[in-house]
Amino acid sequence: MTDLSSWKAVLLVGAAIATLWGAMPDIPGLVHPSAVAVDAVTRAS
Amino acid sequence: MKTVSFPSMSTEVTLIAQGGHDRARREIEEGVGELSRFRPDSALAVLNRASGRPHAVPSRLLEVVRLALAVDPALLFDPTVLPDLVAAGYDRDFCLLERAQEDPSAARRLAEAPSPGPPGGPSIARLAELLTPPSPAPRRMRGPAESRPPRPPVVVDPERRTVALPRGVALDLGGIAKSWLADRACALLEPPALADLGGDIRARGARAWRVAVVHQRPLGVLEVRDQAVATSSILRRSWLDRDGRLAHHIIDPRTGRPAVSDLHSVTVIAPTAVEAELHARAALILGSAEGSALLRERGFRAILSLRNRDLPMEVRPC
Repeated sequence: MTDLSSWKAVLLVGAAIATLWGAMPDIPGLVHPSAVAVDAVTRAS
Repeated sequence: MKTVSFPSMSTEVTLIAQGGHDRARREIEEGVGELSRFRPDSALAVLNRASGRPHAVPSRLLEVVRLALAVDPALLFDPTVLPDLVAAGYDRDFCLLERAQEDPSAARRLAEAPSPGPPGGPSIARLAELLTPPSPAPRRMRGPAESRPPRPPVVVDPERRTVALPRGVALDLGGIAKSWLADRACALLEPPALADLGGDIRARGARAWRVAVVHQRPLGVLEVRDQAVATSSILRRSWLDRDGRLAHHIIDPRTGRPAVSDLHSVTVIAPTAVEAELHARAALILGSAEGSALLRERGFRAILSLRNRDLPMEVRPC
């Protein structure tokens, strides 16, 4: 019989990895904007 | 620390500082009154209508014209590209297009003249298709192989405080005015201070400021301290010309046409907003190879987004 709590743990770990992956910056040294509060945004205007 | 925000130059201005907000705001508003080409009563618009003879100009306009004319030729900045910009279709303030979506009277004003297209510009997916060398050459514009003929020089007399534009020449200070005002406004704020003029950012004082970099999507957060950041992109203020090809406001002065390179956005960190803006714009025109070499040589950190690559490229000084 499948242990539901272990499946739940797998799903939780998977969700955490997915969240971290989404928060990973593309450039080393940069923090993803969703991870910190910012003072300003530079973009074309 | 107090934050003041207000609309200006078709964008949002934010001033964060201990004090000095009122004088910094006044400087920006008076500066826009002198430097905007979209205000018919601005000192710049009056100067452009007075070409062919020396014309007395107010102090900010005189200073920015002198600065614009003295820019290092390697940065491919030419303030006399206004006729090329208008020929490419950028003949009105983009905020008029945006307001027209909500305001019937703005929509009527917009309808009185042919529109260059919707605000915002096409998606990256459409860029590769749209930014192909033209064939045949578009109406009213030169082909890419044909370089722009030299124009007679603009003459500035600092003692008489006059500028003489040769007949038929008009100035656009769009590539420098906003960043110059960011530097000026920040100097009037009590540090630690940050002046953000729609993405042209100048910070002053010992505090580290977090600045998010957005090139169509958020890329990351930079930390700046007593520095400036500016982004140049062809993704905003772009439109389709009458031949259905992409046109935008970054004119390559070598051809007199909207620049075509492998880049769509460039962010530069530099000591001043003017330097950041001029170098971001130059890199955008030059493309990733020559642009990154220029930035590295000048000692600036930058983030470049390529049209055909998902991952951005980072340039670090040598």
